[in-house]
Amino acid sequence: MDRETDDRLNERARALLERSAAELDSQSVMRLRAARARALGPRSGRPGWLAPVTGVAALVSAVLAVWLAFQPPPGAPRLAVLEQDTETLDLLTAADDFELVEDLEFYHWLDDRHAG
Amino acid sequence: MAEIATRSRDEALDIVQDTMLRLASRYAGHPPAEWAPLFHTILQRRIRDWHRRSRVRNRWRAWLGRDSEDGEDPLEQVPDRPGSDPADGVAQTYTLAALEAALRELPLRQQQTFLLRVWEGLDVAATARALGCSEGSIKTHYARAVRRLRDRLEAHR
Repeated sequence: MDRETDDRLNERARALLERSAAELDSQSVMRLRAARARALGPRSGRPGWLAPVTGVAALVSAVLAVWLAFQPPPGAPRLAVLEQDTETLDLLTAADDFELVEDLEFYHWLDDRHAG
Repeated sequence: MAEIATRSRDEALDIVQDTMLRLASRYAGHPPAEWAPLFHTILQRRIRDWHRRSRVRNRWRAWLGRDSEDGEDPLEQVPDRPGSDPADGVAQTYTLAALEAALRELPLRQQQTFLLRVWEGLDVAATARALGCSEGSIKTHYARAVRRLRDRLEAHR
């Protein structure tokens, strides 16, 4: 297709988007500045890299605690107990919790790419 | 970029804030030359996460029987530009509203590829790193995005 037309289309797109960013409303600008200040501000005692690790540890502990709480009383039918435990685990290990683990993998990958 | 992807200023600001926090907390010690590429990579990750959660929410809504958005063409909502000369090519006459509507119609990868290449000025390699895919994929996404934008903006005239 016409390369020159595409170049003009792209150039206009860039100009329009740049102008829209420059004309951002004052409230949005303030929120962005506040977010930047928060990101650059002093952080609480624990190093950031520990947070995902302790988060995963907390998740595992929570799962173990509930698993133990759902251990069957003596003599309970085995199959019903297994179904109940599986369902409980499904609820506990829902997608939102796995985001934490996926985030950890993402940041390890990003660290490896930018190492050295 | 985040606002075009999420269609929400508030969601976009949250995503950008989250990105800045993650960048500052994990990569402040990296050389400054790496901050921009790291920012883009983390931002794209947050945008994809938002879209994944949004799809789950929409499925729940559909399952609960809530109405989804009707099939109106968003470009039909964009007012005509007064006094436009039919002889002007679409490349030089479309408005920001028309552009944003057309961008939001693109699949996420094409949308973000176009914005990173054209708005942020990243080359193919940098765009591939930000999006976590191959350079060949970026070229394909970009070509398709440009073609679809051209067709959509032309159809709106």
